[in-house]
Amino acid sequence: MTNREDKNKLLQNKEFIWWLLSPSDESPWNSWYTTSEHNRLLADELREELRAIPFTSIPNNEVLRERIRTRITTSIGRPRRNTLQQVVKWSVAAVLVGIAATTALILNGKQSVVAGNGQQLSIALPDGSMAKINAGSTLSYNTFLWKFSPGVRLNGEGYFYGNHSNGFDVKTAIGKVTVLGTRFNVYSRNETYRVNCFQGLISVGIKGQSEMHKLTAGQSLSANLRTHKVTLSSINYQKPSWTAGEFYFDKVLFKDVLSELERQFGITFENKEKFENLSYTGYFNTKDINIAFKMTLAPMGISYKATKDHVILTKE
Amino acid sequence: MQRDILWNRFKKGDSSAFEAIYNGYIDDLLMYGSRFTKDSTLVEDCIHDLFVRIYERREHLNDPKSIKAYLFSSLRREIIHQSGRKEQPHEEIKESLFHLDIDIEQATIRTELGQEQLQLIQQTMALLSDRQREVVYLSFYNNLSHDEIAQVLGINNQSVRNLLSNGLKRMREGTNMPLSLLVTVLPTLFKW
Repeated sequence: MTNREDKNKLLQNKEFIWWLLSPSDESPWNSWYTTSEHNRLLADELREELRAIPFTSIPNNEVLRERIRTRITTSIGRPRRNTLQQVVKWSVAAVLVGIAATTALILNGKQSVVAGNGQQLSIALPDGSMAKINAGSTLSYNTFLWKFSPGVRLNGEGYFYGNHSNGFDVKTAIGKVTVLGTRFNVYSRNETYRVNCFQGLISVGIKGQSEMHKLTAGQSLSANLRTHKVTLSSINYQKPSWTAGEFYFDKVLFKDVLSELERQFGITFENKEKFENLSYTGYFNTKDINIAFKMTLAPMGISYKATKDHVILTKE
Repeated sequence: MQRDILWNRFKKGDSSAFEAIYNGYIDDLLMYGSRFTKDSTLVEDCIHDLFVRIYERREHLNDPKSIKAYLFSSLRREIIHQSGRKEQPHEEIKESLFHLDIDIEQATIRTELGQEQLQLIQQTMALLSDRQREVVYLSFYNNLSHDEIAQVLGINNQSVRNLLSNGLKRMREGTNMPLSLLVTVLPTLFKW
C-alpha cells in the first residue's frame, strides 16, 4: 500500500479526522498513533494536509491591509475635540524664499522637502516647530512616526527653531542631534559635520563614536568624517548667517566656497579642481552674484567668464 | 523582536513596534474575523477600531501573556458588539455563528486531497457546534493553548476541555460504527 492509499483510507473515518484536529487521550486513535513510526508519520503528514486547507474568507491582499493601515494612521493623527491641547497641524507649510516650487512627496506618511539650488525653504513641522533648509538640502520626516519618535532626516544644512516635541531629533548621515533646547543649525555635507547651538541645549552624536557631546548656546562642534577630527569652538552670533543670505568662511578650503556659491546661485563652475585646495577667509551674500564673485573669486586671483548658468574659472 | 519587548516598546510609544504588531497579526485577524461574518466592511471597521483603541489607551494597557489571544478576544468582542448594532436581522450575532467552510476549489489545487475527502472533512466539522468549531479553529489552526482559548472566548479552561470532549461524542454519534466494534476492526483495516 502506498502512503496516499493509507492516508485516503484513514480519511474515510470522521472520528479519525476529529482526532487529528483535536488529539485527546480518550480516543482509540491515540494508541494507534503510538503503535508504530509509520502511523506517527501518517498522522503527522495528514495534520499538515489539514492545516493547508483554505477556508472561504474575506479576500486578503496588500491593498486591503494598506487601506486599513492608512485608516488607522489617519484616525490616530486626528486631534481630539474635547481637549485643551493645541491643534497640531499636519500639513507642510513651505514658504518660498526665492524661486521654484517645493516637492512634497507623501507616501505612507512620509514627507520630503527638497530645496534645489538657489532656494531656501521654511517648513512647519508637525509639532509646530520650524525648520529652514539651505539650498541643495533635503529634509524628510514621517507623519505616522512623528507621534512616536518626533524627528527629521537631514541631508545638507538646516536651521531649527521653535518649541520642539520631547525627544525631537535631527538625523544626518554623519550624526544625530537630539534636541533638549530650541535653536540650532546642523550642517552635514559630504565629510563635514558642523552643529551650532544658538539657544538651549542639544546633544550631538557622531557616526562611529559612542560619546555624545552636549552643546549649549554659543557653542559649536565641527567634525570631519575623513580625518575623524572633532573641534569644539564658540560662536558669537545669534542665528546662522545663511538664513539671511550671508556666508562667512574662516580658513576653509576654497572648494567649500565654490560649492556654496553653486548652490546659492544655481550655477556650475568649470575648472573647479584648479582652485579647490586654496585656503579662503572671507564672506559673500546672495544679494548680487557679481558682487559675490568680487568678494570670493577676485581676492583669490581668479577671473571668470559666465555663460547663462555656466561659469568658467581661469587664473588671472 | 521578542513578544514582551515588542509590547512594552509599543506601550512606550515606539511606532515601529506598533507597526510590527499590526503587520504581524493582521492576516490572522482578517481570517478570524471572516469566521463570524462575510461582511468585509464590518471586519475592516472592527480591526480599525481595535488598533485605534489600543493605541489611544496604550499607556494603560496590561501586559498580555499572548498578544495574539488578546487581539483575538478584543476583535471577537468588537465584531459581536458592532454586528449587534447593525440592522441585519438575518445575521444577528448574539452568541456568534462560526463559519468554517472549506474553499473546495482552492483546496483541490493546493492539497493532494480529493473533492470527496474534502467534503467528508467539511461534514465532520459541520457536526460540531459553533463553539466547538471555534475551539478547533483556535487550537488547530492558530496554535493557541487551552488557557489562551479560554481567554479569547471568555470562558474557563475546564469549559474549553469540555467543549473538546463533547466534540468527540458528536463524532461518535456521527459515525455508523459503535466504538467497541471500531477498535476491534482497526487492526484488520491496516496490516501492521
